[in-house]
Amino acid sequence: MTEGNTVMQPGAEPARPRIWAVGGGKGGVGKSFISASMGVALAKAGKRVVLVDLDLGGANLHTSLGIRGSRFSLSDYLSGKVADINMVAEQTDTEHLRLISGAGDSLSIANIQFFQKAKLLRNLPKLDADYVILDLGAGTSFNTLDFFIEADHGLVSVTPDPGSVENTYRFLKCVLIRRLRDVPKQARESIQKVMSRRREAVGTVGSLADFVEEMARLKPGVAGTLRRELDAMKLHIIVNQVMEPSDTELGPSMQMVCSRYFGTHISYLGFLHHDKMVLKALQQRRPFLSTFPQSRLAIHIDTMVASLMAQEDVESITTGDGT
Amino acid sequence: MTDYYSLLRITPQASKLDVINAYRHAKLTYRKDSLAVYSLYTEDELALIRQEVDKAYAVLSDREKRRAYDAELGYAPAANAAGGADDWDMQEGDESEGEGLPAAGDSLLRQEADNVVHLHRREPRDYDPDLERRIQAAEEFPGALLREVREYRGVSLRDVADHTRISISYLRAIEAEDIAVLPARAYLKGYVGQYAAEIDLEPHRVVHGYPPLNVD
Repeated sequence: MTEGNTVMQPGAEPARPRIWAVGGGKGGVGKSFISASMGVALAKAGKRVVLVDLDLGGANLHTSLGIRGSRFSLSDYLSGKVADINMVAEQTDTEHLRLISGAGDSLSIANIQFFQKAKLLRNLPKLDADYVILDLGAGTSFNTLDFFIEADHGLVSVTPDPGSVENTYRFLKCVLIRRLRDVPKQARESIQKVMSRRREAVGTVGSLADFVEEMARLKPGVAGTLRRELDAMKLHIIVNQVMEPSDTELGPSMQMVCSRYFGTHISYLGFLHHDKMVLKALQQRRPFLSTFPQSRLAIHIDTMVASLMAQEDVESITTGDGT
Repeated sequence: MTDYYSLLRITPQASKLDVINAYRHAKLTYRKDSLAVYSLYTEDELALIRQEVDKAYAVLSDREKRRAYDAELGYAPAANAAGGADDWDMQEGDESEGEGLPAAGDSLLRQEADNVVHLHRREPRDYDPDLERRIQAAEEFPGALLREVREYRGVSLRDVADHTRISISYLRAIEAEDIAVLPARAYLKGYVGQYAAEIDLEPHRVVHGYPPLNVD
């Protein structure tokens, strides 16, 4: 999303909410847990937060927050039944925290139309909040990718198992390539040309970094655009469900691999321990962070949220001089 | 060919310690069966990357070679601009020289500083796929294998002793599995772990696989 026409003064409240998206290729890696917990953490820090359940067709963010049903859901807005997006955001038990729930969504919501997606993307920034957190579904469908790309910060949750790592890389690949769709038409044509040539010569397209490097040799201008697009993505990895000390190496290592393979910087936000109490809190239908605010897990979430917020502050002061 | 600095994810201004840490991190990241590279690279590609990492370290950890490399690629490292040749050593010798310590202490510190430099001037042998495979597959780590790995990595016993503060006689005994000389089990566990880390093996694997620790 462009910094665009909102000129921000240092220290001034941003005119539109900051959008954070939580995604990741695989199911069960804690996307909803992280979204809900970060929402609670931000709300506790006094920010006005709206959580949006965008796991279309598999929504259960309300359950992570201990909410059974709700008056409105996302479908009500998408179908036009409710005109204002702020109307479907309902207050939760936590102060300052509202939720656009997917509970009782229409059964066809998994296949929303393009115009519905566009409507949602256009209106998310109009939510009356400081922060909007998007809880995305697993997989790499265009719907998921587009919400992820439009966010100010994209958080990817990965657990220390090969399946999750594999899907995370796949997800990141899809995100970055989808992002390149935004480059000007001319550049896109040269990209296609180089890609198909590589496919013929080497057999595979190879890594994104290699591709950008080859582009730099052939068309330095286009490569510059590519690099700018890739660098504009603010991606973060969270390693979730850590059980052994050695698991914590995964984050920094994936960061190193990403910079080699994708040729772009992906930050490592931190890790979260595996904690049986998460299940307990879910069974009690209460948000984990409010139930166990002193737990190690809660403290780590608070730290991550604080570090992301600090990054936002830096950005709003320098007004994004993308390097 | 990838730039050595970006391969290790450090800047051309990186200190010697940064280089060492980055090297260890890279070796860990690109090791065989590394989770972090799953589905991106094949075993062969990984082996190539590891070789590249070794090459990068060989150049960047050597002052002369690094300077030549910087010159070739047009990097102007901060260190070279001002003081020239001695900057690296000065940084490490700083504490000993600046404080005006008595002569005896001075020479002792200087000796230590020399050790630090020496420690990281390892001269590993050429990449040995057979040994690497054996290290990866090993369930048992007898003293002889530890010694072989240590020599392969180009680490002397003195280096290990200086770095870990474990006496050299214990280290010898660990490699010889000389039970009469080895310390009590509880200490031995710690020693073997520290020793393993020095030669870039995973401590817990080695502790589990070290035969004298497995006799009850």
